[in-house]
Amino acid sequence: MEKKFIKEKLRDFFKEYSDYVPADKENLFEKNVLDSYGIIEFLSYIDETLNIEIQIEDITEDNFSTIDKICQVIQKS
Amino acid sequence: MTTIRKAVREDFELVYPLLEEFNSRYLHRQDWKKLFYQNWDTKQGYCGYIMLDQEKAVGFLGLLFKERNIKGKNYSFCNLTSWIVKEEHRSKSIFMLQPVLKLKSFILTDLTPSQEVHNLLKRVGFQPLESHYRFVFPFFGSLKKKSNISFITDKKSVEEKLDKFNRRIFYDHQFDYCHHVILQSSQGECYLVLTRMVRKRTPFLMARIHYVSNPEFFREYISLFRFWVCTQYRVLAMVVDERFMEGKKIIFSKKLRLKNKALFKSSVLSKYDIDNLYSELVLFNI
Repeated sequence: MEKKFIKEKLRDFFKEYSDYVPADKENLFEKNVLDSYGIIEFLSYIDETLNIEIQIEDITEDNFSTIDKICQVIQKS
Repeated sequence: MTTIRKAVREDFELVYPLLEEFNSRYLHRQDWKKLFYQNWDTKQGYCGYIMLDQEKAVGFLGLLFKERNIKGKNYSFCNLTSWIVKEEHRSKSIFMLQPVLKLKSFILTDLTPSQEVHNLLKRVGFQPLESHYRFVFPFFGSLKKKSNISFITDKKSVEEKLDKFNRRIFYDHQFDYCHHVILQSSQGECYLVLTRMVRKRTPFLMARIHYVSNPEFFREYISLFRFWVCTQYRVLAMVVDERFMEGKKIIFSKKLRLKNKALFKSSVLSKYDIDNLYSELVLFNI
């Protein structure tokens, strides 16, 4: 999957969910962009729109901290 | 920089200011302390997870562990309770739940999740445990039913009559507000654990049933038991989780929706095998 396409979809989620679209390298946890339920919604969204299932157990503060890193996780899946 | 680690007994003072933010009318310092100092579990050695920011507690998830014997087999239970995370740290609260979800061999329960936590837990595989409870009011007519039923409440007699599994329950639930009753007739017997309590939505005294050793027998004799409970403990009603009733209709009772629907996660037990013992409901009498 194209990086550009993935990032676009991820940004769409943030537009919809919080009205705040973080920059590619902005730390989502430090900015407190998503609460725990938001993360679950985010995972469901990724599953539905990109057909990639990420388990909650696989999320770490490192691999899920920025849009760039989430994009890498999705590309590896 | 935040860190998450297991919470132990010694963390009580650190976590208590955070627990006060629940602003509970019913829970005071001594009640919260029980969460850290209860001796139900002797194996796990911790009572939850704590999130720290510069040595200050900014998040806590309480866990009540117990290994129990259900229908002749041993199972490990873990009841989630008192999950609180300061707003500015909520994006990391998921990392407090992750280690709990890794307890694959445990039966996980959350008996009072907030709506947000309920939605979150459903997403990670929790199933409905209870959505309703039944208020059973004393019914004088029920006394007319002839029976040789007797009620044993004397602690020593109860203790002597119980088998080793139920006796463990008896020892582990020796709180002032916890009552132990054996309902006995020529047809059989049933051990019950109940608490005398008041709830916010129903500001009158009631007796909540938390454990029924023989549900079938209990349902059979509920008409007699309801009147006895209400007079014995001076309560207006007896409260029973709907799953203990298994669809049995009872006159002069009212089914009410739980504000916080209880959930559980298990691939080996059904909701009918899970009671309220060794949980926050009994520990805090909520």
